[in-house]
Order: sequence, then structure tokens, then C-alpha cells
Amino acid sequence: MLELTGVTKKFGKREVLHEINLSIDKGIIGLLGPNGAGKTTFLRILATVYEPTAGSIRLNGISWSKQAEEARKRIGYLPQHVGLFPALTSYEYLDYIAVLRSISSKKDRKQLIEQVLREVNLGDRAATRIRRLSGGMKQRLGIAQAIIHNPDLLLVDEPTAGLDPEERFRFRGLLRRLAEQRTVILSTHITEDVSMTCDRVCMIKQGFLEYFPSLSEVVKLASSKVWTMKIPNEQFYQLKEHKHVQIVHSSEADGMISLRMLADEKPYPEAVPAEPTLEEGYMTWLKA
Amino acid sequence: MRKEWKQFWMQPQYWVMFLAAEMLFIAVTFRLLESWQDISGMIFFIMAFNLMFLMYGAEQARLEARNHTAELLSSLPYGARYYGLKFLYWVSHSGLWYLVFLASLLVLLRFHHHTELSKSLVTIIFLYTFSNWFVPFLLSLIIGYSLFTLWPSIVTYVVLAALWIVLSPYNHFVQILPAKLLPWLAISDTNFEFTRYLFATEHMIVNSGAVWQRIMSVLAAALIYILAIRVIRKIKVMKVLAVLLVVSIGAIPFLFPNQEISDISRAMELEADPYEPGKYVIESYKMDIRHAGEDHDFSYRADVSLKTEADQFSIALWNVIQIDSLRWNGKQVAYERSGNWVNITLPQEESGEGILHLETRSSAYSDMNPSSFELLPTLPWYPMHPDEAMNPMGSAAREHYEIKLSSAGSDRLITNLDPSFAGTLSGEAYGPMLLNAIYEKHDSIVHLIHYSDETADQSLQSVTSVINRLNKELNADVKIPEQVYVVSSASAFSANPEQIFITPIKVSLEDKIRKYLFNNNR
Repeated sequence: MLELTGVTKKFGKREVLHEINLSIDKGIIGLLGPNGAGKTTFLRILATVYEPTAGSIRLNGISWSKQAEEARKRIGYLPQHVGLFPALTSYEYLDYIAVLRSISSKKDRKQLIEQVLREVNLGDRAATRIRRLSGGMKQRLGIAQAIIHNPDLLLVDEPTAGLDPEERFRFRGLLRRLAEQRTVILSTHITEDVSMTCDRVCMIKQGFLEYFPSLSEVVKLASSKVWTMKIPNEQFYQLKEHKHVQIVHSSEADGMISLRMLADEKPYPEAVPAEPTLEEGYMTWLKA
Repeated sequence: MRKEWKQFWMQPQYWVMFLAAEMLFIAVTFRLLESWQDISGMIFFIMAFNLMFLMYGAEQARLEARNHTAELLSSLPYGARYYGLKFLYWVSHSGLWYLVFLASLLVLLRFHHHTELSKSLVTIIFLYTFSNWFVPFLLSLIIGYSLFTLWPSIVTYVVLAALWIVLSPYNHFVQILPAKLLPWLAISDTNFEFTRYLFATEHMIVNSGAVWQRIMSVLAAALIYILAIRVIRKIKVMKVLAVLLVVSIGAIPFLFPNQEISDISRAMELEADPYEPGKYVIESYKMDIRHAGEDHDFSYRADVSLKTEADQFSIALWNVIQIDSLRWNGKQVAYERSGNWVNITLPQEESGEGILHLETRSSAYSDMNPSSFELLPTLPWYPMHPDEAMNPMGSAAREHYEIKLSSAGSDRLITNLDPSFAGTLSGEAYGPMLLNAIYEKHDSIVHLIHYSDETADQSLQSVTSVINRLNKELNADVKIPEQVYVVSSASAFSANPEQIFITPIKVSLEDKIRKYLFNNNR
């Protein structure tokens, strides 16, 4: 159980995280927010890279402030930009990280590295230099270093950015598997990552974090606010100027444009209500 | 550390640069080096290497910043170990290149220049190069890495270049900063010009000031490293250590000698006594000499036991030696100085037997240097009887000496007195001989290590030929004293019945020989 009480972070006078209280159990939880909302700061605090200005964090009774080293032993962290050593092979890199995680027995390290490389589907890349790995492979290697010590808490910061759809799909599957045994926090600004991977979500904007125990609660935020309609091309350009309507999707076919809009009230007589998605729930929350 | 090395070898842009520099070093050394004493002249070449190490350190930090290494390491339970291993890697890295430099140098000296590499000589070369090559290499790496880590910007490279000038002997010549700071900033040989040409006993010798300066620079680099690396500076022990380091770095310049050697006059000649010498006999000396180990500073207390019939008498004493106190049987006495002479007036009816007590100090005696000195028995650095001072050969008199000497490196002291268990030197002699530098002994010739056997032999031969010629010319029978010392004393030449002191210089010593051995002035 990960428990955060009153966690606040200030850089100088600027408060970037405002009193976060959260309690989460095993499984994967999405951390959704726009760029600059404080996601990375939040993850860095959980990863002990930063210290909170106020508040406390505990994982299964271990306190971040009093037992930082113990906490680190139970955390796996994949930063937004994974710290790799390009000249080393995948095996050498994991071996180095394992040493820095205090896995002193060479035999144990070998066993763990082989196991973790298989787990992230890089078993055949053990001897490949990191600089020769694709972006997706590097991310999987990043995950491998984060789980080599079987952590209770896995923190993953925007892992799918820059991955092609196939790699992204594979990566999400990997995260879901890993979440069976531990708490995984997946930070992203891509709602699809969350909808495809997570059951719960935290949303963050301007340093304020809100927890949603299920994705449907986020979706609900947009219920009766999503509208669709088909209009001719020339009418579309007039609509774009409308202040209270946010066009979330548009597509053109046979000279007509199909629109999907967010609006508190029926924006046009031709508009018909539609079922909201997670992204629309998220956007509604952002606007609120 | 093995992985750091592997990373290095996997980056040809760096190892090619180091290897090319190494080859250039060997080529330049092969072409320009003529003797081991030229090593200090390679200082500008070494400066270029320092810049290379500085930039390589910065490049390491740049690569880490690009690969976001620090963030990951901060989340690892033993992430600080990485920086410890990195430090060891740097020691091994700068150590490797340094050792290759040193080995090439020694091979070249031994097999190309046929230099006899004695243990003392190898020690001098090793200590000099360790202090002026290895330490700056290592510090440059740490400083380059730390500054770029703190401030990852292209501007940092400009800052590093400026810092390189401040820390190099170049700064010493152009004097960008106040002169007092220079010996503490320059992590290289700041004295090589003076010591090469003026103060030979100090040439390539690492004096205590240089040792303290290097300790201070290493501490400063450690402090910068601790402050630059977040994972390290967050450790409580390191916070305490950082405070201790700041205090130590601040205290060292105030508590310890600096490395710089001042350029002072070496031209000292004893002129005729302007005073009435007075009739007196010196029976014994009891001295307590303190060698400060900084610049040309030294001081002593002397109790001279003498019998005098006159109320006024003079002693010879170099005018660069300042008298702080002069007493006769415990009472302050009036004295007057003129040139290298002191005229003492005793209180009325106080003549007879007594103790003349002197307290002196000096910071301008050129035979006294930070890590060495040559106190010759023939020169008035101590209160000498006028007759003996003017003619140490012809008017030689044996007195009893009891000398307590406080000096670093006194284990290598060459003296004509007997060391006792209490650390006191005692015995009868024509004057106290205290030589504290690195000498080599071959039969009856003792020569400073900075002079070759050949130079020592040539010096003795030229002196011998002048003596033989003057013996004939003046119908004399002067014999060369048995023990020959080839020294670097400013006196150039002096002798008493037991010892002769020669400084190999390219001008004729005939006038000196005439004066000291034949008591004959041209």
C-alpha cells in the first residue's frame, strides 16, 4: 500500500505540487495530465530523486523521509529519459545497475538479468550494445533495470512517447503483466495509454491531483456534454469560432464534415448527444 | 570501474585524442629533452594536457546529462557508489596517462641520454611529475566534470577555459589575479624559472608549500565534486565533510607555507671590516636553528662563549640576517651595523669571559631555501670572528659547537658535526657545515644531485689547475682540502683547512681562490 499524506513540493516560491493525499494498492494506475502539470515532479518525489517540501510518503510502512535507502530498494523507476550507457551491452548495463542496487553475488545477478531480459522480451539482445537498440527496445531495457530487483512500486514516466504503434502495444502488455504483482504508476499525457492499460487514474493539472478509482468516473465527467453532427464544409469554418464549443474530432466525407464536440449544452439544433470517451472526460476535467 | 574503462575504449573520439597526445608527447620529448632537469621546462606542454583533461571531464558530464544518468542514479539505493567508482576511474585514467608519460620519459633519459637513473633521481622525477603532472590531470578531470554537471551549458566550456588559465602557471606570468593568490591557485610548478637558474637546490624539488597547495587543491576539487553531485551532497556525512573541507581549504593558506620562492639577491661578498676588530677569542657556540620551510626564511638563537679584553669588538654577520636581540651575559648591549659587520659595545667593565646571545632571523639569505639549505662553515651566516671570516683558510680556528636544528628533511643532512641521540649536533670544527639538499657522494667529492659527476669533476679540475698555477706564481704551497663539496651556494667558492666548497659557474673562480686560499687579492 502506497500512502501519501499532504505531499507538497515547492521550487523556491513556486508551488508545483499542492498537498497530495493518496492511498493506492496493487495494480496499475494512470497518472494523466498535460505537459508541465507536475507529473514528472510527482514521480521524481516517489522515486526519491526529489524530496517533498512537506508531507509524508510510506510504502508498506516504509517511510521515504526516514528510510530513503530502504524505500529505494523497493522502488523501480523508469525516468522519462532512461539513463543508459550507450557503449555497454544490455547485459553489462543491467549488471552495473544490479551492482548499484547492491545485488553483490555475480551468480544472482546473472540469473536475475537473464530472467528480466526474457521478461521484457530482450533475451536475444543481451550482448547487443545499447546504442544499437531501437527506441522500444531501449524502453524495455529501461523497464528491465527498473524491475530487476522485483520492486513493490514501479514508476514509469511517459514510456510510450516516441514508440511506434506495435512497440507501444507490446509495452502496454508488459506493464499490465508487471502490475499483477505490484503497484505500477504510469505517467502519461496520452489518454489511450491509460484507457488501454489502467483501471484507475490520477489526473493532475497545475500541481493539483485528483484520484479516480475507476476510468468510468472520468468518462462520466463528460456525460451529456458530448455531441455529434454532420455539416457542410462552409458551415464548419463559422462553427470553429464558437467560444463554448470545443471540437474534439472532425472528419470529412462526401463534402460533409462529421464533428464530435464538447459543450455543456446542445450547441446546434442538428447536434445529437453521444457516449463520452476517457479523453473527453479528461478534457472536461481539464476545463473545469 | 571496468565498465567506465570499457565505455572509454568504445568512444574512439576520446581515446584517439589521448593516444595522439601521448605520441606527440614522446615525439616532443625525444626532440627537445636534453637532461632530466629539462623536465620542468615541459610545463606548457603539460598545460595543454590539463586543458584536454578539463574538457574530457566536461564531456563526461555532458554525456551523462544527455543520457539522463543522474536521475536514474538518484533513485538507486547505492547510486552514490557510481560516483565513487567514477572517481576511482578518474584516478586510474589520469594515472594511466601519467604513468605512460613518466615511463616514456625515464626510458628516453636512460637509453637516449644515457642518464644514470639513481634512486634519488628517480624519486625527484617521480615526486615532481606526480605533483605537477598527475595531480593537475586528476583535478582537471574532476573540475571539468563537476562544473559541467552543475552548469550544463556551452558557456561552461568558456568558463573552463578561463579557469584553466587561472589554475595554470600562465596566470603566474601574466598576473591576472593578485600576486598573493597565485601560489595557491597554480596547480603546477610556479618556481621553475627561479629554481632552474638561481636556486638549484630547489629545482624540481617539491617543497612543503607545494605539497600543501596540492592538498588544498585536491580538497577543493573534492568539495566541488561533493557539491556538484546531488546524490552525494544529500548524504549527511558528506554535508559534514563539506563543511570541514571549506574550513580546511580556508585555513591552509594561513597555517602553512606557500610554494613560491622569491627572487632575492645572490651576490654576497664580505668586505673589509670598517670597525676596530677588538681582541677576543671564541671558544664555543650553542645554537638553535629553525628552518621555516617557506621561501628563504630561517632564524636562530646563538650563545657564543667568548673571552674578550676589549669593551668593543666586531663580528662578521651577513647584513641580510636581522638581529632581534643581542645580549652580553644576559644584558642588552649596544651595537652598530655596517655592511656585513656588527660592532658591539659592552657595558663598562663587563669585558672578560661571557656569553654573547643573539636572536636573529632572515628571509633573504639565498643559501636558505624552502626545502633545502647550504650553511657553509666558511661564510658569516653565523657570528664569525673577523679574522676567520676574512680568511677562513689562513686564520682558521676550531671551536666547539652544539647545534639544535629544526628542519624538515634533516635526515639527509650532511654535516661536519656529530649527531647525538638528543637530536643535537656537536663537536669541534672550523665552523658548522650544515648541508640539507640532495647530494651524491663519490669518494671525496660530494656534489649536489643537480650537477652531474662530469660537472663536479670539471669544476674540481679547473680549481686545481688555478691553485697549481697560483702556487707557482706566488711561490706557495697551498693544498686542496681533502673533502670537496660541489654546492650551489652564492659564495661560488670558499674553503677552510678541511673542506672546499665549489659552485660550478661559467666565470673564473681565480679571484675567489686567490682570496680564500692564498689570502691574496688582485
